[in-house]
Amino acid sequence: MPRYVARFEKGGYTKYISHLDLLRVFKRAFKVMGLDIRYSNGYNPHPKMSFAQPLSLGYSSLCEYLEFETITPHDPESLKEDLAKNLPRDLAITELFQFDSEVKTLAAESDACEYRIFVPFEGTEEEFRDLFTSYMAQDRITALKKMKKTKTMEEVDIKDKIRSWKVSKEGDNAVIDCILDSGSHSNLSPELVIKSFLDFSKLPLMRWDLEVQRVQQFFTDRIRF
Amino acid sequence: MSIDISRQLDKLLKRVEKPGRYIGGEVNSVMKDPEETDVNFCFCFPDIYEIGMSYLGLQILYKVLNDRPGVFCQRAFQPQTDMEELMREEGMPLYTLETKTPLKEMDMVGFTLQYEMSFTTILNMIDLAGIPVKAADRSEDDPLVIAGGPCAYNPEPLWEFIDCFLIGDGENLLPAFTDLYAEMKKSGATKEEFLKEACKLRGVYVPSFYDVKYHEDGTILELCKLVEDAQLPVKRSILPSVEGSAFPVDPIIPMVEAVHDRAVVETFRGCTRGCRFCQAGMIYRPVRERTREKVMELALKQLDNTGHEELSLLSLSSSDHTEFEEMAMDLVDCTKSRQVSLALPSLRMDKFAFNVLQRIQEFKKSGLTYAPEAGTQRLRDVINKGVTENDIFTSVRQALELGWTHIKLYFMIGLPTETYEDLDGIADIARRICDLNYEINGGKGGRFKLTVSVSNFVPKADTPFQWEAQDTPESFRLKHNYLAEKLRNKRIVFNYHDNETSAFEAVFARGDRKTSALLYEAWKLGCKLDGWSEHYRPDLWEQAFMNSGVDKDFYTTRKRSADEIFPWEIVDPCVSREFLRKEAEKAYEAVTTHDCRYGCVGCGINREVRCEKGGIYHA
Repeated sequence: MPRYVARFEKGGYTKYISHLDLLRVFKRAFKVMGLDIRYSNGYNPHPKMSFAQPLSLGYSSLCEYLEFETITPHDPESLKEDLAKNLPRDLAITELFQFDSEVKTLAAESDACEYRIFVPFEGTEEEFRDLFTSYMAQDRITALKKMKKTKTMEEVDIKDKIRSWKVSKEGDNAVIDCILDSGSHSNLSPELVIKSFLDFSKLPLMRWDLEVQRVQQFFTDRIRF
Repeated sequence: MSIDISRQLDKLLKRVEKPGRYIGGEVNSVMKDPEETDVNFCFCFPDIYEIGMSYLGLQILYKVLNDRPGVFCQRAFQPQTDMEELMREEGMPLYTLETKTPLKEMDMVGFTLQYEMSFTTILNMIDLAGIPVKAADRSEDDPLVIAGGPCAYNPEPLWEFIDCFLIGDGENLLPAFTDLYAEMKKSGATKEEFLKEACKLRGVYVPSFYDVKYHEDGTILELCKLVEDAQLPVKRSILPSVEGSAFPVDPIIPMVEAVHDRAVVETFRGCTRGCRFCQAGMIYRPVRERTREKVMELALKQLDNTGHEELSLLSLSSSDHTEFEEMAMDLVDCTKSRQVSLALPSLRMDKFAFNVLQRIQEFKKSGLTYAPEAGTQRLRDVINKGVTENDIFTSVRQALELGWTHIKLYFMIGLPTETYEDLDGIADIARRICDLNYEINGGKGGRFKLTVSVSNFVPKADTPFQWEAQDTPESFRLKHNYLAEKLRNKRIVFNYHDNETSAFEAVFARGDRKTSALLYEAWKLGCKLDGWSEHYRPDLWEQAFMNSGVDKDFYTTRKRSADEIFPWEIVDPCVSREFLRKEAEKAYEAVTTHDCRYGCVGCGINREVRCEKGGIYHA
């Protein structure tokens, strides 16, 4: 079956479109294009399309992946053009390519994601670096996480899941660039980093003062784009 | 775009439910440079996004206006309460979805008046926009606040808040209005000067150009105009034909799921049946049809452009279209091949309808709905609902035989001349349908369910029942209890409406200028989104009646005399008062009037416009 991956940006206000709504937006676009998306078999056939990693509501992104299957082969370039025409203006397709792979889904191969966290900060870059360094220097970085099975809040240590980080200053914001575990084996949401950092730093900020952008997604070695 | 707003907005949107409702940017939404356009217009729907975006009229007028290079039409909706609270806390005004511009910076904001229970929300939106709620308090810097839609046929409850009403079909009137505005704005005219010109356009009603004098008993002595060029009455604007009129084949496609997320084609405007309680049946006359070819063309183009998975027809009575059967078959074929589901609302349930439904639904049989409206033949004759018991039972029998398991019945209670015998009639129809089910589906009756929905009759302006008294809330309550007892059956689900809401609806449906004080009080006390049970506050409404001194009974339970002057007669629906009165007299004698497609009944509409059904008016 011909299989494709579209890489796109979630820009402007489209960061407020939820995962499910975004799926509908693409489904609608494919329908208008008259694309022969492959459907699953069964009583409630659904189109074979999925995102590599869901993105939290409110995050913008420079790098989202949607994979989909069609019945007949298509030219990726013209697919890209056609798709771009049928999407809201702030969803920009940056790349679309054929994806011949043995892997079941991209989602299953997700390994890590890189984020930029924008923290309003009046001090200097050095001051912020000191602050974040001391945050990272803790023996354990604990955060409360809602457990999937028991639905209870449990304390988890997220330190090992932060693979790398650096900070800088851009205008009124300090920016934390970080790579976090992602995927079924080990996953860390930027929300836990933000929460524990705000608690630690005692910065007088509310969660909604911060912006988050996903910059890159990394996959296991089985994926080669 | 206002940078301040967008930065502020980013913080609010992270704290509210479904932020996707407040962002715009949907496919087919329009973007223009407000600096480059002569008229900046904001279309306002006084309900939340998901409701407003399901409304075809918005899509039509959005297109009509944006097709003009000199006009930029944007949109605004009532935010959900969590968003509104934050906006007020942060001092953020209501803004347009397209460019995030405060409504206050528009040339005009236009509200659509779809139902009376949205009136407080209009006041609320004006206020949230930072515009003075009362027209008299607005300055030259404030936008012109205009309104149109079915409730504009009795505009008086809103007279203090709206600068100008546009009455009748909007497709021609609204662009004529904005064109005139653009022209006069260039020459530096004031709002007052503009309105003095605009009021010469057919369909334009400027409340401040009129005065109303009252008798001591509160009824109207005289309607008079204060400005020479103002029209009295204001005749509604009528589109002579809808065949070629603007229709959006590339409507805005919401990213957040709207209530109706589907393609819609209006097959015709108006209705010939002449049900005496129905306002739409009077104010949308004459019947104007789109040809079958046009309907197909609009349906296909829309499906192509939107990728919608459902198509619905819109009219007051689907089956009454001259070419309905051919059209329905064409649509069944084309939707099937595209895997689009087809909805045919308000079908007359005859043999043909069953054939079509069999083909559309095949395995999935959703419920079938019938609206006999009244329980006995006598009362159905009074209201001129041309349905007989035989029609109902023949049709229900067929539905049950074909495997439908859910039947819904709609009735109204509190209709003129109603007695408890008519309520017994409702129970009787329900019981006989249940019996019919046992007869057809055997002793246990299968999975059958019958829903009986009863709504409270609200007398409306410009109908033959405009003189009638509404039942008291107490009487409605007794009738509901009576029916609940009679309909006690495990197969029957009995629904009824809230009594207080019906009374408020009735006050505004036939309210005069004095009721604007009630509206203002209610809004001041915090009423808004009254159509939503979770937001509706009957206690505040009661308080508002006390504070405003408006006598509820005067508007609801008072029967009007034959010669009373009505507040809504400032507007001429172009159906004659004599016709309405004649229909009222016939109602009292339970004499029916035939469907006027089989011969003119003399409603008077043809004095104004050609009636496709061959209307002849004898004054």
